[in-house]
Amino acid sequence: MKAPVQRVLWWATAAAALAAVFVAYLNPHTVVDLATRVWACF
Amino acid sequence: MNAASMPARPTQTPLSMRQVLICGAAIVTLSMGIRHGFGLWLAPITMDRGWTRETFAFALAIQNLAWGLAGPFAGMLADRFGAYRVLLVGAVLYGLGLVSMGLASSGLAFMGGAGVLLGMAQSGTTYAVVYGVIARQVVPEKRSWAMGVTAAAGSFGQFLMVPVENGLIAGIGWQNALFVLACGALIIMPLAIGLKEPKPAADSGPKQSVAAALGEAFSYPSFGLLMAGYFVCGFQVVFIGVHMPSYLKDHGLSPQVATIALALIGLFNVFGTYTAGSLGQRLPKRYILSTIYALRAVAITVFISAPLTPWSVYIFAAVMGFLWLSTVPPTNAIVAQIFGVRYMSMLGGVVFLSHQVGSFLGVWLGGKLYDATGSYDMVWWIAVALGIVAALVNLPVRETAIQRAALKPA
Repeated sequence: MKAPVQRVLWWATAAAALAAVFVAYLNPHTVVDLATRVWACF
Repeated sequence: MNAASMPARPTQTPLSMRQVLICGAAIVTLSMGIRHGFGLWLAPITMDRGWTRETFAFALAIQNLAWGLAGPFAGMLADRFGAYRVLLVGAVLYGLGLVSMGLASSGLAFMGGAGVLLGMAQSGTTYAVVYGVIARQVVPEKRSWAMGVTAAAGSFGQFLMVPVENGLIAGIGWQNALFVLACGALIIMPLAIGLKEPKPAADSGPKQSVAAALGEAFSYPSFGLLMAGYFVCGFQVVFIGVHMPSYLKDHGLSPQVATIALALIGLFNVFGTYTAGSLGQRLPKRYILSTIYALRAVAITVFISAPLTPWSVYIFAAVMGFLWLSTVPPTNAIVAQIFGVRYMSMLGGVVFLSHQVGSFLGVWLGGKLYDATGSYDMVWWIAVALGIVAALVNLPVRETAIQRAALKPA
């Protein structure tokens, strides 16, 4: 595989992974659950 | 510059850069990620065991101090016996620490497991040890970039593991979640084999004893300046990480704002660490560090001066996230550049100790001054002042290799 194509694939994979995790944070159930746990510390 | 003081270039590179990066990045993703969500266990553990929050918080404070104090020793052992051996022991300690965190039925046992064991485990599985291998196996021209990639992986681990750990606690209970993570920590062991160097670090660079290397570093002004900067990094990051939710709560913002801010810090931290490492290949790293600290001071000033709204919090979280661990690649790359790679892990551990002292003070002073004054204002301004100091002290750092006229190459 040519280097530029490989590079684009690496970046696309990284961007997809980051987007997937960010979406996980924004899931309404996760936000409320996480917020409750974080808030419990204070 | 004489031959002995030339930046050490690997004389043989049997470990491919891809192998070093994949294994190193995966190790740091696990080690930095697992520890990042420990705060999520506060409520379930203290309620289940009937402990006070202080018991839990004290164990985590001990963990951070143990991480810092054990760092130079873990680094020394990694430089002497090979990073992969230290990583293997670190992975076992990580697993044991998590299991004992789940089983501890007394505050003292919890402090031993979650505090001492996990702190030691982190010192053996995080940046200082992995960076030693990167510094020795990756050519100097790509070293800062490679450190940036690894730091970005650690940042990704932190970003990833919070929702994962939250889901584990909700799905299988806090105790089983810790046991699952203990198994996850053991994945570091096969990955460590990928960082097994064919040539000991002791053969990289000039002959020098541990004491001589430490004496040389401490008598070199730039090393002290880097330590001072890293101290500020630890102070700011941990103060904000620990006390910001409380600050937002005091100002009437909803818990969801704090959660999204946490996500934004994690997301932008990945970009920031990678960018800092990449820029380190093209620009003087002392200027990168100065800029990071100056921007932090500006960001905090604007944040605390402007009206507090969810959007001001999100913008601040994104900016601070970008600057969060971006100091890690340039600081470590300068250490390698000045002193060579033979004692890279040990010296990286020493610099990191300064970071942890700053972290400890950031958490403690944040609480202390809040109790004394009823607000976080004073600590925010201390963070601004320290940012300015760190921006200034990094400017005169000399990045060139140290002169060692009397030393023989190994």
